[in-house]
Amino acid sequence: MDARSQSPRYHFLAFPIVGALLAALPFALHNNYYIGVMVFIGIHTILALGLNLLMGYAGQVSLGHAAFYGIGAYTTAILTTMLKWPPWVGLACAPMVAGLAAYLIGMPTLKLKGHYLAMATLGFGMIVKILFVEYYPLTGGTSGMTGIPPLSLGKLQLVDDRQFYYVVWFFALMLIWVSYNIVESRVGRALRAVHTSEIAAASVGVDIAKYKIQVFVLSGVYSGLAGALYAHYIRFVNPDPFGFMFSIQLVVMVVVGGMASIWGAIAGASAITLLSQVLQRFEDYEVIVFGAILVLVMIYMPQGLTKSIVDLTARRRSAKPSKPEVLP
Amino acid sequence: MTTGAVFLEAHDVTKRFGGLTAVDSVSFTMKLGTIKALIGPNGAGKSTMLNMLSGVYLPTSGRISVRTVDVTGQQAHKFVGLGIARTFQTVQLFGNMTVIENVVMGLHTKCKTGIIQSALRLPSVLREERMVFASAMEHLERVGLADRASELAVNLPYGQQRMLEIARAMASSPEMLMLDEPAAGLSMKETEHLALFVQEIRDSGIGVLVVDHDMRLIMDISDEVVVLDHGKKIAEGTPREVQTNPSVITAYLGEEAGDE
Repeated sequence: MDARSQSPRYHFLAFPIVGALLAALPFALHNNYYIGVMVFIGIHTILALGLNLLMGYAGQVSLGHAAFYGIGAYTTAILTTMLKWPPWVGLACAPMVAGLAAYLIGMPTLKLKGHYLAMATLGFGMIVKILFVEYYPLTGGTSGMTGIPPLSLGKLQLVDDRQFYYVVWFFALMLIWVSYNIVESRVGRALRAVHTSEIAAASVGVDIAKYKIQVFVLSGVYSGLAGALYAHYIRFVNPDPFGFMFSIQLVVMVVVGGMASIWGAIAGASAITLLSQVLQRFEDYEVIVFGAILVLVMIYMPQGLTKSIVDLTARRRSAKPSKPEVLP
Repeated sequence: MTTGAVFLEAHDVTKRFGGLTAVDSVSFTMKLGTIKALIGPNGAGKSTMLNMLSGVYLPTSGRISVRTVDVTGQQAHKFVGLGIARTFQTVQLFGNMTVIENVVMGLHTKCKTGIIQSALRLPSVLREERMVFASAMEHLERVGLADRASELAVNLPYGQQRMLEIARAMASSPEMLMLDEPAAGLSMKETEHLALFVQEIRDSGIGVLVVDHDMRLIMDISDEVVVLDHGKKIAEGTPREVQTNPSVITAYLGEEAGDE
């Protein structure tokens, strides 16, 4: 078993390839509907990346990540419609507010051992959704907020799906790069260490609580950015997309894509986003399907979709052993 | 570092787990450049003592001081900064990391890279990475594991895992090293190798506290021995003094039937 089958070199090689593919994709897709789906896959990739850092590396589960997503969306919505702040400023503030919310939730709970964070975020997610619905003067209640301005580059307003596609994937790829850097650094090693043996991590001086809170805040920041992108794309927010169901979908994305797998975030986000498009007509039964997927993946592909496929191809080529190399 | 200077002191340290007193007001001192052994029958409280001296357990009462500064109640991750490194009774390696990454973890407190710098992969981060990996390589060479640097730690044979754990502890350049049963499960040859390495560490001026069941190893390498029995310190002295101490013999072999 090789937990890190790819060396950093392959990862950095993957950037230009994936980047080029993503840049070319809109030319191959003539239907705007598919472009819209790709925008959502990009937004969900950002969310899955953040949650994956938390679940795959810090070993903590959040069952309320949709709340940070919602906080990001509402933050920029409120700032740009009520205070008339420029959209890019709203987009910059949203991750900060979501990160601050994560800090306030994480601070008391992450110091405790065990899955207190899962419970705290579960409650937090529900409270935030209720606030969106009930705090009418600020959020517009169930009818939501309209008139959110689009992002713009100079004089160019990014209202077209194709333009927004590039904005979203620019951020998604940037965050993949950032996440990858973190994972392959002192901080990432400390997180992996905590995951394997907390007692040994402490014995070499890793401040466990500090790293857990940092990752949680970071995943809140990612979600906040995703929320802001959503708000400026749809240009309307209401409480519906930010509920418990979506939090669970995010967990499924991470598990399907593969825990502790950065590129897996794209795979998980794509698989679940496409699937939910297909399942839309089943309405409430969607939940059952996602539950079943979660169970099946955990049983048959505990490493997730990407790792399982990579391992499968690696096993075929495993005839000649690779030459060991010292990193970096 | 001055060999012979007192580094760590335990004053009347006691640990109770519910009704069980695992360690009962034990006091001793640890000197730099000395190998001190902590021995005793099973359940004597040796590991509990070690866990208190490394901040894993909080003593129920008593005080632990490092260089005369009271450190009782400090969190476990702060002890490396005090110059105390340790290994564990059951090997606690980071199995999903490579051999060299495990040693790099030992250098954790020597580096400064935080989450923001690493996210942006600043040049300072890359410099620090090169520095720690080079330094870790030197530590691996000392234990003869340099050629296995890029293997996953779980794939090492058991004896090498033990040595890797020591290398990781030594990477933090401690003033005191605590080894919890380092020879458990090692072959004779590996134990000899270990003994030499521990003596080499001692000769470099580091204080070593060893807990082990291998009496030959303990008596061969230790400068001082502390004997615990049922949580109490029953003897302290040179290996020779301890071996002839009647209460130690009683603790290990039981009372002679004729004495009754």
